[in-house]
Amino acid sequence: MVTLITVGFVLGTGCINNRHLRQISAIPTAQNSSKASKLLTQKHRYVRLSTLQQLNSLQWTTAPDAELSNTILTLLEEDSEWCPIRGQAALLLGTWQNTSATGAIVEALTICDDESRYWMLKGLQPLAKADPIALGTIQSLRNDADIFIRNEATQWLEGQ
Amino acid sequence: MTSMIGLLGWFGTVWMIGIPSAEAKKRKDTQPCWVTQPCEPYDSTVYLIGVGSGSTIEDADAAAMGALSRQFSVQITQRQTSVKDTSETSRGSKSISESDHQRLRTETGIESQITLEHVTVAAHWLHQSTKEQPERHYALAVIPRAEWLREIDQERNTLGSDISKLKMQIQQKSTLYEKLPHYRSMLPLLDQDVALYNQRQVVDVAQRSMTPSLTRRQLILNVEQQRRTMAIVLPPETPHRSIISEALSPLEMSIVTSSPPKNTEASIVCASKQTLQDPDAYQFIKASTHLQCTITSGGQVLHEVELIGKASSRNADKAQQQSIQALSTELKALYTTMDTLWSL
Repeated sequence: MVTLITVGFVLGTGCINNRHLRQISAIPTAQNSSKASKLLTQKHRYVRLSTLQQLNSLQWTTAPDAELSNTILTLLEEDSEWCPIRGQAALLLGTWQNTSATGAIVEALTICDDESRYWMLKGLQPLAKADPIALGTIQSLRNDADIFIRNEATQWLEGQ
Repeated sequence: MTSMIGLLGWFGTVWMIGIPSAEAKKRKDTQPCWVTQPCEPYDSTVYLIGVGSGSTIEDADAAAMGALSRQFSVQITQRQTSVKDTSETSRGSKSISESDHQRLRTETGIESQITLEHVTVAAHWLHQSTKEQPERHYALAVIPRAEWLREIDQERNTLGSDISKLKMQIQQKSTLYEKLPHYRSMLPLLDQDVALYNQRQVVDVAQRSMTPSLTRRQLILNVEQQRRTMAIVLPPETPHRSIISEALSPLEMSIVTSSPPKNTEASIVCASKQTLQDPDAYQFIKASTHLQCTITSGGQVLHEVELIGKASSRNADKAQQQSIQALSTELKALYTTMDTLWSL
């Protein structure tokens, strides 16, 4: 009986997780962006993170709609949000040339781990042309404590 | 002559019969004194009085009850209702619409937090229709003050003894955690006592009600004060002790290394482990710091919390350090748990 309940529970939770992942992989069309907004407000971190990773993999150059942009900006601005999520949010908003994200990226850069900060730096790069604060931040990252961030910032500035 | 006398007798009879009916009609049409102000036999010192009017008797009754209950809602909520209808207009000659009646009943339902007891509709009066106005019913609702006061006092006595029992039970408990369920049970009783006190102040003309021995606010302050004096034992060998202490600091409880004899309320025992993953495609190394804590009080396990701080860097040491930093953010959950366990 206990085994049956356990198997049922595992299958049940598996189905729920799988449902989320199926929803995330169904984002590719811009029409599904409202679904993405919903997924980004889910309480499970992995759903929010996977959704952002999926959106990043699509390489859209502009935001499909303002609502989605705002939802992502909220995640980036939220101090209690998980750093990997903030890193992916920064990368995405940067790719979409959303200059209103600069301030939040600069703030998150001071508290997150190296990988998240690396993706934040990548997010600042597309913003640097239009936003002097983004450019200034990249310049200051040439002296970052992390060698890889230092190198990335230096290389990118030399390539400009 | 005989026929003359007969005719006079007949007129006399008709006149005599006519007198009482005209008197009755006059009495029926005359506005009773209670429509404009409290009067005998329903003296306002003995009765609580409400007057209402409406196009039907039922509406007038409801309006009169509304006028009664609003005396309490105004007292309880300390604000005047903006609805200028039945009870006010009933004292004038203006009539009000059906929608106003509906509004009154709705507002009365929302504002009145009490149940009217011993209400009697003592009198009705019909204001006959005129050219300008349709007919209008008036109702006088009364509540004998003494009867209601007796019941309130009885109810407050029962409440008082229930509250005393809970206080006794609280005294027998040694830790705040054990006391809290009794404090929680006390809260609705205190609210009820305060509500009855407010009612009594309205019903008792002399306003000589005994003030509540304890209010919700006083109880909350009392518990908060007890919380500030309690100590949490966090052994010196606890991993990441400094960040745990930091996370718990908003609780305003003192955090000690060993158990002092009296005010020890809770202990937190934690174990930690770190894991590192192999570098990924971008050469990032993912580190996780797991922290498992058990919260106990009086030898009883209350809660177990598992927290994980994750970070990623191309340097393994930095990844580990940063995962501890990430753990400090996760420790908010430990604070929340502690706060919930020791709150009313």
